[in-house]
Amino acid sequence: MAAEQDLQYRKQRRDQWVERVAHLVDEISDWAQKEGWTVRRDRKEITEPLLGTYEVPVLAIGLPDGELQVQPIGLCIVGAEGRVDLEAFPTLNRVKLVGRGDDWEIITDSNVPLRISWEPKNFIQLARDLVA
Amino acid sequence: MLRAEAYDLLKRVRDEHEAAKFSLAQTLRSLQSDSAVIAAGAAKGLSHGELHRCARNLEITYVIRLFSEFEGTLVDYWQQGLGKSTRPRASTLIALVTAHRSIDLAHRRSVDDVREYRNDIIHEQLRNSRLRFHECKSRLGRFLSWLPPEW
Repeated sequence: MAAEQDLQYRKQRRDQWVERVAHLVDEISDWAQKEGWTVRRDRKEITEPLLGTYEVPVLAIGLPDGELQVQPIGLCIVGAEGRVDLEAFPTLNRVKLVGRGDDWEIITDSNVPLRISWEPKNFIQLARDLVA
Repeated sequence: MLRAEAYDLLKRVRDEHEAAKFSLAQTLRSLQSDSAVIAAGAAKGLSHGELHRCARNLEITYVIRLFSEFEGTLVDYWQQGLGKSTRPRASTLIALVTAHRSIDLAHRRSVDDVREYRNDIIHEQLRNSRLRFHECKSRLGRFLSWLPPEW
């Protein structure tokens, strides 16, 4: 019985996480398209010890100077509720979106949090800076 | 080889650098107060100085690894992509690939800076980082973008 409850709980957590990622990806896709950038959508599998294997959407956004990929990493992250990376090519610059409650915190590769809110204007600037 | 695989190699070094930086910072912090960590360090005969030196030199150590992966990719492109049997030194290889792919000379110069920096670290015992790890990574990444998607 306890094992079944545990299984149910994990499934629920996974479904919530996949839904959260899908919402984020839709949001970013919308912001990028409004900016006139091309958006390519794909899916990838993630395997996590506690959640098993599941599918999430990923994005490749074409900017004039390069490409920005939106890559979900997983829900089980040290001290956070999930992580999605924004990774630029060819610069390999990256920021991590780390789930904190209902919000996304933006963490740079120097592990310094960017104290800016997650909104279209900031995303557009961030995307430009990452590929520059 | 796929160009994406070459990027993955650089990304892996970047992520390992980050993990190592995190682990060292945590260890140095724990050494102030955590008796288990102090005991474990003592059992290995590690000094505070060695750990601090390791932390100070971590970035340049990973620059060397980063460049090594980059050079490995260029060698693979040279030998597998272009069918050459030679193994030119890094400076020559960069020049040859630049010429073959008509690479922007600014990108070549910026990669040469990283190569010279790597050489100074190895041969001149340079310990002050004049180029940051993330800057090196971006310069190498830009150069790789001139290679074909697959070879």
